[in-house]
Amino acid sequence: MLREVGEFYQVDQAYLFTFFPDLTIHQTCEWCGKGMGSVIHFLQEISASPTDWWMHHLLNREPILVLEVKRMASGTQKERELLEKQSIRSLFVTPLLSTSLLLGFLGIDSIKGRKIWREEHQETLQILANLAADVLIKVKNEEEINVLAFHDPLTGFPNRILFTDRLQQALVIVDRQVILSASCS
Amino acid sequence: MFIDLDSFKNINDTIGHEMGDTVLQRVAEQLSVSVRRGDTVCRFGGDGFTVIFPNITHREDLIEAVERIMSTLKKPFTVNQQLIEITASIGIAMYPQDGKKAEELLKNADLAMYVSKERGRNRYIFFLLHGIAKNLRTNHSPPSPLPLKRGRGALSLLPTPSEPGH
Repeated sequence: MLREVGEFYQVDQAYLFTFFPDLTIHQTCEWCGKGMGSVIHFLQEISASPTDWWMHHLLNREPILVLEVKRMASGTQKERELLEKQSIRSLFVTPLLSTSLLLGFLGIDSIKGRKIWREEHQETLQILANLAADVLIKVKNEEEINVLAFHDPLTGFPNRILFTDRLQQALVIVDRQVILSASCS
Repeated sequence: MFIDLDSFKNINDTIGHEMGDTVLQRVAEQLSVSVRRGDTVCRFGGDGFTVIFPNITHREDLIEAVERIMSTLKKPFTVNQQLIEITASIGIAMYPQDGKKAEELLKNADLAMYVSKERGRNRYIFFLLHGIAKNLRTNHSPPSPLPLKRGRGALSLLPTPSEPGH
């Protein structure tokens, strides 16, 4: 999906960041256009504060549009430094939202040239961000259901259902080892 | 291995269910530290826990494991300034001699656990070693499916050979 987004918007990179419970931001996927180097390895565990300019916008459920990174307003020093380090000129970032939570953000950057983000482009990116958010919510819900269905909430141990499954697995493994050792001897 | 805490109902009745839950959490922690990597501890329900030891093949190693669990559980601890002392009754079934299928092993470990309770609690019993299987075959009433009744019916008919090796 990120490649399609990047090519459609004719930008140099497209990416998805997610928030972790410890209030850090991690880049989870990226697409890089021709001649662009990957940055995913160093965009990990970026500490975020709700008072940051960037976070403030996203928490207010607003997209972030920057036409020229060099001309970003005062009070955006921290963000500007990080963006300049990646030689980004223009960017457009839109929040990934569930009903009550900010899950992360979807964004596109232009490095080679300055970009003007038209209104219909902004709307389309928001629709794509909503789709991506739905996928994230689905994955998260499945993980939660899995924990609830197969673990005891008091101790965190596997419950009876998971135990029976593990026991059956263990027996299969033991049988396989017996066959293996018999065939080796 | 089936582990059932002794007199847990008394603990719940004396200090309340909330503190009872804290005791169970504490027991869970103790169990976690007394098993090895690769073993699976599970809360089977109420005050019953089960453990799978997939890497143990000799009974001696199992004895070592169960004794480690029992001695860890025995250590007194305080919950809400109340001194708690826990013991457990344990039943052990081994594959393949005590059952070829998961349900059978579980049922037999459970039966052995009830025999531990019958023999005075705070002990472990191996299913096969104590003639439980033989006794059940000669006894016309087959073992009831899980969950077993806690009555003294079928199990009190069991012979009482010498105590387990501890």
